[in-house]
Amino acid sequence: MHEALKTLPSEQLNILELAYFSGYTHVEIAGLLGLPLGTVKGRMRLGLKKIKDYFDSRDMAVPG
Amino acid sequence: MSDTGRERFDELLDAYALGVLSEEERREFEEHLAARPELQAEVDELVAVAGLLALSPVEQEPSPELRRRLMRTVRAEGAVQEPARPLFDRLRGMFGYQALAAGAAAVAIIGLLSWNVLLQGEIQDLRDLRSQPAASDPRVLELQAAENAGAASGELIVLEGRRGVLVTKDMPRIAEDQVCQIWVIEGDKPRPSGLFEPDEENPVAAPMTRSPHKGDVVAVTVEPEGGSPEPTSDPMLTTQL
Repeated sequence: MHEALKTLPSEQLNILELAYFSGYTHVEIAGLLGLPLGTVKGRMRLGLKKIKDYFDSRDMAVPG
Repeated sequence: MSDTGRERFDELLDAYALGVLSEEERREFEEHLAARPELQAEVDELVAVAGLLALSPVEQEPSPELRRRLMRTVRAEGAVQEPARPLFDRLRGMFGYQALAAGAAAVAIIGLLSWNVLLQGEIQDLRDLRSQPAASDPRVLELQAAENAGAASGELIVLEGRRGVLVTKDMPRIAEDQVCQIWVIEGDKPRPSGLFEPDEENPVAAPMTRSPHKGDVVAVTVEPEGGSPEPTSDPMLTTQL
């Protein structure tokens, strides 16, 4: 997983970690960071996609 | 689904997987999903991807030592030992002390890095935590076994603000082309909430892909591989929040 996260630009990784761990809504996160909501959503999407692509490209199943 | 419906679904999908939708948006999303069960697999996969964030970042491959250290930390009465790993610092800082252990159950099964399922001793540690007060106490609910469930038992660990984890053990053997499916039943509507393979020797901790709410029933049935949109057999284990 560490390897997968290394492929993410820091702004995506930061948003994902903040989203996952903080308990704030995406609207609150946008407010906290002073970013447009669209930007937050875009970074979440790109970040999750990158993680998923990492596993797909290595033929590893995402557990769950 | 209409174009705008699908668009809205896509717009909310990532936030849903990360658990950052407002209550209203979450309900809206889940209503879309209920009307389009074929999208469940896509949602489940993204929820699982998001769940991997619980493993971030680690400086090296997690080892059994890491888990032992975690369980020692949460077992220590009152004392807060500083774990060396940034992962556990981060989780503990966010969720509080006891909640971290329930998170470990989720992490253990989500573990991409092939962590083994929780051992008996660690399950007992989670039970012990119930008696300790904490700011954000994870709720642990015993599941009731049906007659067809044999010696099976289970616990639902509900972590405030996060999805639950279902820990089961001694589930009866199931066929190769079958899987255990978790359901959250809201009113009379069962909603698919995760799949897992039972293990005859070890307890299995399965992350739930849907959060149960007060009054909901959580149940486990045996379904064909891949799961079903609705239960096709009688529940083996149930509990109600």
